[in-house]
Amino acid sequence: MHLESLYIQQFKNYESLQIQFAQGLNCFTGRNGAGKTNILDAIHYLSFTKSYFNSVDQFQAFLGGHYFVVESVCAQGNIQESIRIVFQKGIGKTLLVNGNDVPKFSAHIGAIPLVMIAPGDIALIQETAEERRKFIDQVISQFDKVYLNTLINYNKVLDQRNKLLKDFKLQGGFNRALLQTYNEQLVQTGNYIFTKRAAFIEKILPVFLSHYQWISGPDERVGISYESDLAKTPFDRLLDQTESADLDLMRTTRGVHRDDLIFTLAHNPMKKFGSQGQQKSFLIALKLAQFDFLSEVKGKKPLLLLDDIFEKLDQVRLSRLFAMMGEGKFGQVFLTDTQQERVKAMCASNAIEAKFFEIENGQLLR
Amino acid sequence: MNFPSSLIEDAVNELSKFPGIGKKSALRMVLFLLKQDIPMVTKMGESIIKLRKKIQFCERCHNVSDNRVCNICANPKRDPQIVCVVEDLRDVMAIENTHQFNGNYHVLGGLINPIQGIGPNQLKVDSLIERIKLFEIKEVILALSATMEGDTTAFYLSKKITPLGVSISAISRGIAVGGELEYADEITLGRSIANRIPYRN
Ligand SMILES: [Zn+2]
Repeated sequence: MHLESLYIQQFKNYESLQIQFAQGLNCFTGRNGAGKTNILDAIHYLSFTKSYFNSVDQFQAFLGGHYFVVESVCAQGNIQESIRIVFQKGIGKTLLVNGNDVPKFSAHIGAIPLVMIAPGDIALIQETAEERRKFIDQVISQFDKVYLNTLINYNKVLDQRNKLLKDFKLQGGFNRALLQTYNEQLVQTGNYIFTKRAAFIEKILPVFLSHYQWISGPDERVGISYESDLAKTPFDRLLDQTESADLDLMRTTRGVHRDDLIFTLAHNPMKKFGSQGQQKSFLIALKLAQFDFLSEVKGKKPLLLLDDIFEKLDQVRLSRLFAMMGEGKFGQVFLTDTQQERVKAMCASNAIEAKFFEIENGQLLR
Repeated sequence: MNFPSSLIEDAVNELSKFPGIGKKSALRMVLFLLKQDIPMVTKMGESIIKLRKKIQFCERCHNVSDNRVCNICANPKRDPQIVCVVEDLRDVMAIENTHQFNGNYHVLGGLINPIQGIGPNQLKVDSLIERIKLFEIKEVILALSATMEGDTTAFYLSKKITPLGVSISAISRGIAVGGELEYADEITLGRSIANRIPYRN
């Protein structure tokens, strides 16, 4: 699977841009702020129907304008598929696949599997559990539609239950049967999510470890463990136990919406005890494990987006990554950097053919 | 928007209260009305006033009705001991169009949705329970949308009804998943009522 072309209009700092991609490595070079990363983000839109960086569509429009278009032709074997995303202020976003309107965006997720390695990944280690939940959900959703729908339902039930708890406290009129109705739905969807997340972590862990060791050497003992309220106590009993606390705090205090992934280095938190280099290796190994996992379950190689990796990775890790590319591990790759020369040198020493695009102020130079 | 006439302005403001109708569409409607002759517009206006003033809701099933008890509830050929629970009038119309159902209805008036301020007390739930006892109802069919709110309402009703010893069934799903009942086509909807299955959550 690969993208043949990209057409963007009124998107971020591009008035309009048309590109023909190579099937292998595509490199976008230019100064900081030229708009290289925006091209990667347009590709991200094609896969996830939203931005990697900023979830508000309106802010993606050129000069605060009122619309934008992202369009591409995706090829798989002999089959070509056109994907078109249009955002219009006041109307919203539409997704067209081969000209047909796709009203439920969740139906499209996973059609173009994608893995992105970007400087912002550090948030996975540094920020709150929400970032890590977003990561697992995004990976699982790309191959499991039922998971994505269950997750959407869980969140809906959770919102309704929280509103109900608030109503009980502020307006009175406790209704046990109604609360139990929501409990049962929460348990049903929550258990499913828990099982899928646990199975996913178990499956991805050995792949992650082997990548980490290959990048960083065999000595360091890193780990990922899945932490959930549901691991020790069945969810239905948990909800019974916390009923009075929930009523008092007017929110659901236990459940898979509090799940976390614990990243460790020799049993200590990676966030506190990992060096910058160890954290970077950790993140790349995690993303490569994600890549392998998706390749296996989807039966096709995801698009790989590498944003600003020359700035963020040291020489050793960079060479490892390019060595993998040289061995043909990846499919279509999109990379950004400020200096074309060093990317060219790296490609040459790994016998990688690449197509180069020089970007300046939202325009493609020849 | 500035209007050359306060009469036009008033009419635009009133018409734009319709869901999905903005000021521009309302103005278009007003311009249409001005082109019609007076009797036609009078007839239109009177029918709206009459609709709102005279419409009644059936005291048994809460469906709209011209009388105190609606035509369906009053029909002696229909089985009053089988009750199909629906969200609103549109569902009654959709199911009636299938000609597959010979019982009575119970119109809830919405689905449980705390975020929108709709709880069991805002719906005709208590009257359903009373009706089951009073009319010795044998079977309750839950024909609610396959949405999270529809599921919640069905769950909740089943909790309330089960202790009464009535059999509960649901229209077979998988046909209109995620969709509203009124969008299901007549044949599949008819089939799903005929082949209803015992309710279990
Ligand atoms: Zn009636």
